[in-house]
Amino acid sequence: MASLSTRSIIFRLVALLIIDAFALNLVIGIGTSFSPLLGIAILVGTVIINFVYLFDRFYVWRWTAPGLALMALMVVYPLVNTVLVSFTNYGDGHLGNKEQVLAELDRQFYKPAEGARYRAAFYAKDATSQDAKTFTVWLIDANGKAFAASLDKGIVPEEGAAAAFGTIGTKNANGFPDAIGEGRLLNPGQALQRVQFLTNNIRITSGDRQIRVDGISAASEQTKRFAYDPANGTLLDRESNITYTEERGAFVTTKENGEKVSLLGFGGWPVFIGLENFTRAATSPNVRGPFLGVLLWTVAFALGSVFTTFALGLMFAIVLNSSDIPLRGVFRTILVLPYALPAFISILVWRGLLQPDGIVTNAIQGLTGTQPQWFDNATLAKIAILGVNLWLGYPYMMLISMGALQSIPGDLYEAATIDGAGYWQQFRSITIPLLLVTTGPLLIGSFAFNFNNFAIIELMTKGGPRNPADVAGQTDILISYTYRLAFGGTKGIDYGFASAITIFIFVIVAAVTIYNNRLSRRLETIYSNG
Amino acid sequence: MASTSASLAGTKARARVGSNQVDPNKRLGQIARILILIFGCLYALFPMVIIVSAALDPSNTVSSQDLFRRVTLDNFTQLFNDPTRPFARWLANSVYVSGISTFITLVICTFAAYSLSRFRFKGRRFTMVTVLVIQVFPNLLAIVALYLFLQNLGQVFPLKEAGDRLLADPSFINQFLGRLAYLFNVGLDSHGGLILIYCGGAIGFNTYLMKGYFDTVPRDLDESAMVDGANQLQTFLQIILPLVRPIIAVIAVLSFIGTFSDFLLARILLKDTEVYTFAVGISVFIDGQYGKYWGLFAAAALIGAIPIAIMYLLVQRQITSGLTAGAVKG
Repeated sequence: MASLSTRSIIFRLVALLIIDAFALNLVIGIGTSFSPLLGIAILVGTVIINFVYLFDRFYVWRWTAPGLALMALMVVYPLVNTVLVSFTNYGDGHLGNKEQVLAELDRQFYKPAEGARYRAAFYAKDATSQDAKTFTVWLIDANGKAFAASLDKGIVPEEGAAAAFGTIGTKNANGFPDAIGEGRLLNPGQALQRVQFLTNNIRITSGDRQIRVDGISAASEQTKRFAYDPANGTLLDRESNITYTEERGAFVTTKENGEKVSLLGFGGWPVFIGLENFTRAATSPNVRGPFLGVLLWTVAFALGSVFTTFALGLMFAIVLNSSDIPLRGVFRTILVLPYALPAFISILVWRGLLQPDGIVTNAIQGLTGTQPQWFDNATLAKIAILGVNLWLGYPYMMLISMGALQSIPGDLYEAATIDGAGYWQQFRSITIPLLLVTTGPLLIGSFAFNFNNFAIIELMTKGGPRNPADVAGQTDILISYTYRLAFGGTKGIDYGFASAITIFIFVIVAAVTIYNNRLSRRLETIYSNG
Repeated sequence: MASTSASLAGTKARARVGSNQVDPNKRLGQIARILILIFGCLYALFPMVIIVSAALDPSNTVSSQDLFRRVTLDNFTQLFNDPTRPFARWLANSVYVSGISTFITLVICTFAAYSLSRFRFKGRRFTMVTVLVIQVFPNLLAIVALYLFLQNLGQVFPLKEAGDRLLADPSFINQFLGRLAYLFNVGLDSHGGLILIYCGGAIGFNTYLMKGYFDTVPRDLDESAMVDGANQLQTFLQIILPLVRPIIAVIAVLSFIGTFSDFLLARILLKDTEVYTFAVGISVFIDGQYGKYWGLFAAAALIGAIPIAIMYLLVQRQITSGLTAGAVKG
């Protein structure tokens, strides 16, 4: 027993050590480059895990800890992140982070009109070297003052050159020494061969200045293009002499006509913009229209799908429930088959059948003379989606209706028959109400499922047909709309707004679920009392 | 009042007549019902017949009006002999991803569900409610965050790059280590990342399902085992686990089918043809970029869908019996 527990402790310690090593890596990697918040969360989680598996006080949590940890990382964190992003303008033009953007701006130089020009010559031990650091440049400015410069050592005036670079050779007629340290002067032929390499790679920075090679015998001084003032949050573009101010995670300047222009080419970073993503859906006219359209169609699609699948499924269930049907099992199995196939395969096949040369389209053309354009006409596309979803969804409704029908006491119908109620009256006043009681929560569940039924939209129409100017296609539902905003491509990325719509979906799904749970709890009490 | 009772008597009389004789109306009703079922079956089978026909027809279309005109196995042989579209590889990838996800989900869920069913501790209710609330949101909703997260995981643990470097060397040990690096890669474009997401999404719901089943196993069993000297882990593994095999089987099948049939997450996260799963891979046949090969698609779909359909029909009764109410696939 003692040896068992010793072994268990050693096993636990080794396992924890491995986990901690990974987690620590993750904390540092994620925390510094991606999200400090997530880094801290992982750190806290790891500490908790260590406590749980080291001390017997927390024994009960050992059973749930792996599951909770995985859920925290793969479900909770993404949800929290979505909430946070919905309050920012994360998206095109705001994809970087501020440090990266400032560092990139700091690397920009330009050649001012009054900047110094130099005559230049190049020195290297090996003229064919691919390492720019092995080259030295001798510079002579307009006043005849000379400098030696290299990537390693920076720019050194002639007086200090010997100390920094080694022996300076004898000067030729143009004022250039024949050697600097170990480096030999490149002859014009050699210099010409390497001129492209040198102009691209020799950029010697010293403070705000940078020396660049302009040709085989010329170099010039460049100055830093941008000056950032962290105190005021202003950025001076020295080249154009325009001052930009930091605004909503980008550098912006106001032109004389009042138009706001942002500094192009360097991106920006996401900043908190409060509820703007949420209010935009209600106030901005060119967002409100498409958003409302998508919302209406989402609700119509989800309700329509539940209604049509339930109607057809119920019809089959009633027919199958009658006692005078031969081969009931066979019919039942065949009718359930659409549910047994992976949905994405069925959807893709249906899409093929509805293509302009597909069988269904051809058959309709044969009957009516016109070819239905299922994917070019918004109304037809919506009908096609509902139709295919009917095929996919009725078996589930049939199965749950069959179960529910069997639970309706037969004497109710007998009594109704005796009282003279016809078939339709019985159906309306016994079958439907009792059926809705038992299947109600499942129907609401089906509504919630279809509300987020991304697969059918994406695989059938990809949201199309779409107006080229709009992000939302005419058959997009909310969840596919967020997908298009986030990964859409053509109209740019807007993670912030996509997340705000996702929150909207969260709220609706949560409301439906809470309502549903209340409903099923009420049903449970009804049943337990009855 | 008088007229109501009169009409009531009339219907009663009619009802009696109906039950004594063979009512031609009833006969008509039966025929109508059978016709409805036959039409229903035609409707249900129609696309499937088309798939079978297209799979056997080498013309690669779904527009042909006469089905089963030509019957060959060309599409099937071509499926396994096209190195640019490694179908066998995709199938293997899918079985691997679904198998591992299912296994991890089951292990994590059974342990968690057992403790939630048997132990009484502070925070138990809170844990259960939290899990129940969280599992309501499909993780597809947070796909942007997941995408960026995996991207960064791949940068923190650059196992794909490490694997590439190791596999460039033909020595046995480096080949082995390279494969190992691939196996544990959880970045974008990796099976590991996809498995993590699938498991994370499946744990909440399945733990709940399984906890309900554990609750039906009497606690006396645990107590008598403990009295006999078994510790908690032994009790769980040797006494209780064998008793809950039915629910484990159902969850295993549902979770396998669910991950095998997932198209969207895999489509977004996997970019490289080599790592495609079955679902992502076969959509390549008809995405139009390289032309539409309906025959190949149909043949591939049949190979993937038939085992899934059989598995589904096997557990179908449990699904409708309410055991897994709400376990809507898709």
